[in-house]
Amino acid sequence: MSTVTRVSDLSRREIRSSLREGSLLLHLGPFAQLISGSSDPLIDFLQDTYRDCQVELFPSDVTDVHLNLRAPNILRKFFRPQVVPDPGFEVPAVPLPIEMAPLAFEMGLNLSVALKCCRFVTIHAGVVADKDGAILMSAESGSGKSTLTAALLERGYRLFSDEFALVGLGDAVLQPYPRPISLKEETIPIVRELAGDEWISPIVKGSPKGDIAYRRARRSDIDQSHKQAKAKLILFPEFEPGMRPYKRRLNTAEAILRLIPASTNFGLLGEQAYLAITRLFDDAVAYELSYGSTEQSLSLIDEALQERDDHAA
Amino acid sequence: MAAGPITDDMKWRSSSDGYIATEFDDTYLVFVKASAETHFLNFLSFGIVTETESVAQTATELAMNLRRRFELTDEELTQELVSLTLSELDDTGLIWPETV
Amino acid sequence: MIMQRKALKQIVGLKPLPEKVLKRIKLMIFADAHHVLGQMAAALTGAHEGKINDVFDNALLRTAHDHRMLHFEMNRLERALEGTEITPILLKGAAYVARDLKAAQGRRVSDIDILVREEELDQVEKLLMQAGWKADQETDNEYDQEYYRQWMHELPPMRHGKRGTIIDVHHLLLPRTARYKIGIDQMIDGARTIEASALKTFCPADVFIHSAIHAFADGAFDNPVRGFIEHYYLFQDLNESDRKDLCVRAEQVGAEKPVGLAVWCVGFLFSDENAQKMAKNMKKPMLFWLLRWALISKAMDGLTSPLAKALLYIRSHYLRMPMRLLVPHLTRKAIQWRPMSRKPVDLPLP
Repeated sequence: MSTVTRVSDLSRREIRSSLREGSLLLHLGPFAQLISGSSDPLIDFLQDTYRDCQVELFPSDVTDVHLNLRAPNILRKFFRPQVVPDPGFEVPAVPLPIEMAPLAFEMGLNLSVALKCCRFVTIHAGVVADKDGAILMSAESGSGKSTLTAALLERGYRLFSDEFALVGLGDAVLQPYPRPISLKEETIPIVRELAGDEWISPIVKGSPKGDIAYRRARRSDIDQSHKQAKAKLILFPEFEPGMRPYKRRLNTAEAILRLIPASTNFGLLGEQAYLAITRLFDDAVAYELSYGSTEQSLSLIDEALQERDDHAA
Repeated sequence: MAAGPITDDMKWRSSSDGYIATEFDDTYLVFVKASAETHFLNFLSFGIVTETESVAQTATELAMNLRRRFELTDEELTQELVSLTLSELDDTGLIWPETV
Repeated sequence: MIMQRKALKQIVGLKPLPEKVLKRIKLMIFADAHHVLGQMAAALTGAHEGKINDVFDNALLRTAHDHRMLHFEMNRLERALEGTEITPILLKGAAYVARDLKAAQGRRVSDIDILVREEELDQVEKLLMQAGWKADQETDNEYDQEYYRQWMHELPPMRHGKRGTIIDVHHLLLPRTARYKIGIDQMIDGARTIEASALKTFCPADVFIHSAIHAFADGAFDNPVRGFIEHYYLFQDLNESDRKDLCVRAEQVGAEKPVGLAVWCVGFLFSDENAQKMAKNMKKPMLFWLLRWALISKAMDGLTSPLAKALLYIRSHYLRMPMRLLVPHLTRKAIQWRPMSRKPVDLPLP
């Protein structure tokens, strides 16, 4: 009989044998993901960074995603072992040394959600929420999105996702999917400073994207991952060291035109996606932000929220 | 580029069932259902789309009707501009020759 | 063999889904890898509880996109040929979707395939080019262009510059060099216009015949699971008189053998009594027994016999072209080192 438990309640042996069998079911937000392919670095990573997540050692139902972390070929299973994520469709993933299994795992899940899951409009964005609603931050990598997401967690916001805004078809409500926040190179010490050392995973060194670490989702984020929120603020942040803080209110047409290319499945969903993205603006207003420090970005967000409230009043 | 051969006697047609349009300050965000493409149209382009909904019209007829509707002269709205816009709209699938 | 038939029957809803979760997951991964999860979802949607509904919804959203895309491509095709007398015949997935056949429900479609008369080929190519289609990068080299034009039954594939969609323009159903000679003119003459459209499809019997030719005479049977399911649904789509037509028609156009084999497969794999009865009286290819074994072992994912694979590969080339052409072509392909077909990704099952 299968039962749902937290990763932290399981022994290493249990996790290993479940991963070997390909029967480890990870529940997170709206997705059930079946994971196979055991390796020590992956088990370490799950026990550290996914410790509060709900899993089953033996799946009780079918799943949205099945991710296999496998060797690229039989040789690489034993000799200088390597790993590639296999989400069941061809992906442009390079084999990584086995120590980087966490990266392969995160990459595999991201590709699965981005390309395979279409029950929601998926937008490449960071999302956090408080009781008044969600803040959606749509940006390219390197724009400071992850740092900003991590900083907002310290301000009492819940983590929805650092990678994907999942917008409900029909109601345009945002769905939490609290995976760990991925941090690159120089953002690692910044977020370590913000969140505290105990919230940062060990660093994966020398990956194709440089040094990588993760800021864990908190137990409260995971336990509330069924609680959706409406968007209140839609941001297009841009970080550049030394930049003067600046914000500009966008009209809805411009904001929609910028969200569409950030979606991984807009063309696939067509009309339903268009209607959902349009409906995001029922309660939300959009801003373009540029800033040179986390402090500045937080003040800009405060100003934007104030403007929105003044407008509503 | 047009989506197919164009002749002067072609009558053009559109249907509001095929798209979702929202106005923002004299411009229109238009989502085309069949292609899942979103276009940002000026008042003239969108005028062509709405103008051809009730009656199919040739490029010449369209130019005349648009001038009347937006109170423009021949020089302000040339036949050339109308024809060029038609071929661009043709490519989006928002309008089409009546016979298709 | 028994397990395989069971899986096919489960996918089309003739047998209940496995109760055991791991078996159920395995089946759905199998269906997904062979691009028939959408068809499974269309057949079974609403009949179950739990997570499976999410997975089916997801699959149906994908196929809804494919069908919408296809409808737009048909519309663009009509637009591109506006003012001409050309009335292309939609083939395969496009035809099933345009006619809303059972074979279309939940079917994934990526390309649009059309058939025109050989003498219309140049004009069609020119008009499509003017409307934004271009030679697809993959075959935009002298060797492939020449090879297609000299030996194949279609133009080299064209991709639309803006939309990225592919159109295959056929003038025959099989390569010029193929052993089977199909009465294509009869099939074109029998084609039927789609209401309010310049496009046509084959008559119902010919739709089945073409699918059988494609699978068993063209050597293009690279996804047998999907092919078997297609034949099954197409057979269900034929009414009593279409089925009578099918036997006569298959003989008329010179396709009894592939059609006989396709009907036999429907009867054997799906235990369809009508197909079983019909197959008894139809001619089958000489290599029938060997092929039967090869096809069935190929469809058993993970248990593929290398011998069966080799047999199918050689057979597919044997069918397409005489030996004197086959050998240099195979060498050429070996040098170019490119995949021969877009196969579904093989997935190690949990």
